Amino acid sequence: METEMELKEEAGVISAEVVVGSKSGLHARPAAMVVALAGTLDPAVTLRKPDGMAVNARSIVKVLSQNFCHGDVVVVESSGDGAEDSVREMAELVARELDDEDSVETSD
Amino acid sequence: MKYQGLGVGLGIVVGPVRRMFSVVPEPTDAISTVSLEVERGRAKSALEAVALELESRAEQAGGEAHDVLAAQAMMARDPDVWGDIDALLVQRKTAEWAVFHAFSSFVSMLKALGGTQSERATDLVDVSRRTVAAIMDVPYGELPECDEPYVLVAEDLAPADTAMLDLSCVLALVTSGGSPTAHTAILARAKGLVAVVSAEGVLDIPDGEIVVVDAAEGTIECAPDAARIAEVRERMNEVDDEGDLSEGRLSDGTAVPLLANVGSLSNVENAIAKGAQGVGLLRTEFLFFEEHEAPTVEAQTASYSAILTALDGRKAVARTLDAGADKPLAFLPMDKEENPALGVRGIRTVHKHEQLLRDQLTALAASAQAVPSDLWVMAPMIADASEAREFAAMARDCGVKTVGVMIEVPSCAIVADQVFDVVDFVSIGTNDLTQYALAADRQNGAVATYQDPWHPAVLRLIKMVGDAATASGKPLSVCGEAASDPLLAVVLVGLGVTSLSMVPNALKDVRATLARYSLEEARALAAIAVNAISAGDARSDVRAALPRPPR
Repeated sequence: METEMELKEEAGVISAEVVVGSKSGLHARPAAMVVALAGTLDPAVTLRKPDGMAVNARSIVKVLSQNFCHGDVVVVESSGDGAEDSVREMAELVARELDDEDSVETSD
Repeated sequence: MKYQGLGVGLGIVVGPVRRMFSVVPEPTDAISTVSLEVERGRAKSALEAVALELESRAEQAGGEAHDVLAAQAMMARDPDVWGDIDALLVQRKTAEWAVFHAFSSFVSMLKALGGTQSERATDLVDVSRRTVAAIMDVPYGELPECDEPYVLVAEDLAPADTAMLDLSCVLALVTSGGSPTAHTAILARAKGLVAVVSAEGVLDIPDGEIVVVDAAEGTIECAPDAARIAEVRERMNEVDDEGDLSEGRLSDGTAVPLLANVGSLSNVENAIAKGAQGVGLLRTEFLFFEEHEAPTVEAQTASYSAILTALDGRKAVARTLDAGADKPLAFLPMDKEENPALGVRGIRTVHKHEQLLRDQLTALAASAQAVPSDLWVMAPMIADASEAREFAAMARDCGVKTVGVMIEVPSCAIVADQVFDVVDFVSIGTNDLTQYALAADRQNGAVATYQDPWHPAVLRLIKMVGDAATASGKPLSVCGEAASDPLLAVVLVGLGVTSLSMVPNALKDVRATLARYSLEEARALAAIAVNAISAGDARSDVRAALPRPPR
């Protein structure tokens, strides 16, 4: 998070564009972390690809269905009282590397 | 009645069958006969019960299984899925049909995405089936009660299942699906369990029926007679103790040292107890992954010395730090990569951070000085002889006596003769060699069937390295999953491999199998394997050509 997050506002909708930081994308564990955070955010946030439909970030199935991969741009949006905070928190999480160390011990 | 599948290892057991069902009856699209509120209640309480159950299993499981189970609990609580279910209930559908239907549309969506998302689709199917089973009040995915040890029969086992498995009660794993390189087989090998996978039809065997599971033959025999049961019981008793801990040898006396893959000091003792003649792959990452800065030379020297002391003069082959875009380190800033398997990893990482490697080599050399030992050091992901020479020069400069490289990259196998000119030994990492030779990402479940070291292309690459080893008279080891497959171990020796390193639980079967064949026979089997046209054919052709059974 070397640079300060840039928030935009348009017709009451607060948005931020971030790049998925997790190397495995928002798939297994990172997706669950996004959904867990979304459940605590009020107002709620949505996620979408720049040219895609917004989905409820509280829905793990919808988040998975967007297939957000490492390096993809995600638009985080929210509106209403406190929307800036919701968007900022979610955007920061999405930008972070959320994968744990790969603990699978197979041989090489 | 006899069922045929693919055996993992050589064990044999007899015991009663307990099936684990992962199939539930498909609900029919009927109009509800109860009120909307009652249907809502049925759906809601089943989803909640499933979520709670998955959460409590997640708690108990820990690790990677925890993450899978916790995400599944979220699926059961998904507000958007609930929205779809409720819309169907409002149309007066039954709770079971609404749940089934709402989940299936999301399942097809995830499946269509492929890759990792198709694994999530499997997780979602599991949640859907659990919920439907709860509504319809039928058993699903429950591991059998442990009253006496049993043969677990299932369609396939997911990591989430095996995490909960009380292995002390499981005599054998038998699956109608799966493959010899997939999760069930890897688990069986790591735990030393008898297993037969891909055995079509086994789910028809009723619970409680006594069966003989013979991994060497890949068979499940129903209704064995008393004499057969007694014979198998006797063999189970023999197998129970570790028995023969002798050195690895072929039937003609050719020595094939058997070593263990370990990743920490605590693994070393177990490996020696299982008869390992040393450590053929010491993963050194454990010293680095938890750290926020690079460990000092002194700290590393102390850790390596402790391991060498535990080995008490036995051979130890340490692999230098294998980190990179695929396995990042907290203290090494790593650029994000689109394709980490083909990116900066292994030796490529330290090109930019040479001091890190120098410190490690210095610490390794110092520990070998401090403790009576036989320490060999090798680097991962070497691409060619020039890179090998560069590493060897640095290692010798730091005081390392015996220097080698891992061959995991096909380019390095192809120029193996040049590589042997500049190093003292080579060790083949078959898992990476396979993923690169077949261009199939190991992390991508959608291409998992390509990840099979029996593939003749992989065996031919190994043969190129084997021929170069023989010509140079220098040692060649294999330290991938391939070495733990007893029959493949024989083939590897036939290709010119001189020692094998594996998970400690695999040592016993590999030792027993090697002792059944001569070097000449191993070479003949290897020739058959490299001429097969697929991994499956290589496996079955070699099995068919065995001059005697593997045990």
